[in-house]
Amino acid sequence: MTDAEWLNLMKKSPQKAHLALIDKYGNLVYAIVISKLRGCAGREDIEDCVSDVFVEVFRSTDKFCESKGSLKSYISTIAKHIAINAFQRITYRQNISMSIEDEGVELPPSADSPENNTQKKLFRERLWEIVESLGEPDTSIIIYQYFYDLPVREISEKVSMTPAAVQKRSIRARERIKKILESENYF
Amino acid sequence: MKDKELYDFLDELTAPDNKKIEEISRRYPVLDKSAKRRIAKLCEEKMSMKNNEYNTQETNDYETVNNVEEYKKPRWYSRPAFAVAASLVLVVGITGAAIAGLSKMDKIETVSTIESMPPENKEMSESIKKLAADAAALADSFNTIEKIYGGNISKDENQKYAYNGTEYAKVTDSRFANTDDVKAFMESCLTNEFIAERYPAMFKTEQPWLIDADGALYIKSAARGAGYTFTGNPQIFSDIADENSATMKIAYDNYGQTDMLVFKVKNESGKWKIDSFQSTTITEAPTEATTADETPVTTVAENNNDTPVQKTTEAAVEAPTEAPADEPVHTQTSDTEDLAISKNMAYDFMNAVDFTDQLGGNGSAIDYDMDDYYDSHDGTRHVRVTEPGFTCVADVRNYLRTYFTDSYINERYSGLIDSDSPVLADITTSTDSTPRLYSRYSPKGCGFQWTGKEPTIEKQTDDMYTILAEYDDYGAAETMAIILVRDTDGTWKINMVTFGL
Repeated sequence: MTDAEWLNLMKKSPQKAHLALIDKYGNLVYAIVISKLRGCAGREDIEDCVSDVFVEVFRSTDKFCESKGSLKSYISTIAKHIAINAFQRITYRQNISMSIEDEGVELPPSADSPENNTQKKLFRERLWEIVESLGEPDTSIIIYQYFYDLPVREISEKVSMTPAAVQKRSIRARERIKKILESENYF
Repeated sequence: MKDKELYDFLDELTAPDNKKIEEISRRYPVLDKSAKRRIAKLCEEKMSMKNNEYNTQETNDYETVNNVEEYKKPRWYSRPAFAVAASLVLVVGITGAAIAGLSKMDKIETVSTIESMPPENKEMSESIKKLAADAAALADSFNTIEKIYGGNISKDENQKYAYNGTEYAKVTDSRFANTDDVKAFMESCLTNEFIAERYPAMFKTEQPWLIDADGALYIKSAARGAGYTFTGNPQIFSDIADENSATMKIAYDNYGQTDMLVFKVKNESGKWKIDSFQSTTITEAPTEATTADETPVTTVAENNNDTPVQKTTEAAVEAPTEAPADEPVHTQTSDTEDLAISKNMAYDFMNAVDFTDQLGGNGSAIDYDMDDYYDSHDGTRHVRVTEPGFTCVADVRNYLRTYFTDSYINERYSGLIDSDSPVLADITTSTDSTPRLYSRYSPKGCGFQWTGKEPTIEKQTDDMYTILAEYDDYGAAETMAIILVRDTDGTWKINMVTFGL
């Protein structure tokens, strides 16, 4: 379905258009949101944020201009902004709660110097290469486990294996990754 | 928790950039249907939609939208879509004019509505009628473009033009005066995605196939084998799950052997266009009709326009032996009466899994010319692939599509050829303008060492089988399950592989 076709569908049947858009871009939006909220939000918060993104897209359809870019870019931009807002809202809430419950806690100093950022970026890129070189189903298992933060039970359904087998493959895969990184003096 | 600490470096597995996020979402989708429904309901609640369309028609609507264009190109039918479609497959036998005489469109018979079609599908029938009328011309147009992309078009070799070190000859085909004419021609019969995917070097590359010069159209002088000699007439298979999609098949002569081109066609604003295609081998003739000009097993009725109607009955679809036109196109006969998958076929699929894995990891089963290489700007070495039968990316794609469903290719092997940084790519060099297949050289443990134990074939349903194959995993015998499904064209294909069972 092209962007123009979707806009037409939106005029004819908004509900169908909504479903079509969620079906087509749901996974992309989810990946964008989880990349911002991982570690600070639970599954429900993430799905809530994903739905916020689509609601915003549906409500602002008239602002979307085909000549300025694709619907995918438009949705991605909205997703990023909403996810960042959600991150700030959630972490602010958590910091408040932390400071109330444990006033002695201090946040660690920021390590985001340009050098550190560059090193981090290189490390991440290399990490992805290694994960992708594992082969299936190990690559999927690691990505679902660490990028998406999915529980083993859900991963096992996705890769059609038992939870025990997923656990076993995950341990072996992580060991392999660690050994490769060690051999390349990352640790 | 202990594990988390031990491997906390994996917390750095965050997406480094937008492209990566997009790739991850495509290759490792996390939302299933129920999750999408959940999100849709959340949206509905937030938007305070009071009507109950989601609730009352949820399943039906969802099935409908589930067949919208997939995120990643190229796209073929998903298995569920085929299951729905199988009950109402239209086989449009286009008899009469051979493809050689494509211009004689008045001789081509068209399809009519089918008896059992519900009223709401009437529009689809009209749409398919149009496709039937356009099918031969569509195939011919595709062939013309293939020929152009191979330099096989009328040209005057005496009128030369040099561009970027390459020699071009003036095109004398009256249909094309400049590149805009060719672009318009391509856009009239191919989707933009397909154009971008299959003909990336047609225009505006360093050494494009076509250039505008001196007010005329020029094409590379070096011609290569291109184009098809069709030996049959197009057949069209319509999918009621997606009224804007259909499959078109046409037989062609492949150096003495009859093979089949299977096109996925798409209706774009009333115009049918080719969205992707694959070539499949017919290694054993079906027992009955094998070419499109022979009538498939159909019921025939008349439509209002008095044109013949051919309808594949549901029974015929479910019993392939009675529907030769819809037979699997690569031989798949069983040596066991009860099973559609034979031992030999099982070994074939096991080899495909092994070979494809080796393609992605520079395995020893693949031949390379290590002396023919180039290093990209980031220092990555690419070596020329000399494996017989693999001269370009299209060969790899055809191979994958012979053995794997498109959804599985997109899921597991998109990084091979269809990514921003593919393992395999067509490369032209300053000394050789013909694109050749190169592989990123990054050898790693890949492929599978079978233990020699005979594979177990298990029938799940009439349209789904599992092959359990044992392989050696660093000294331990592990089993992989190769899930086969019957694809839209009737062939058996791998839809999923799970390891370490």
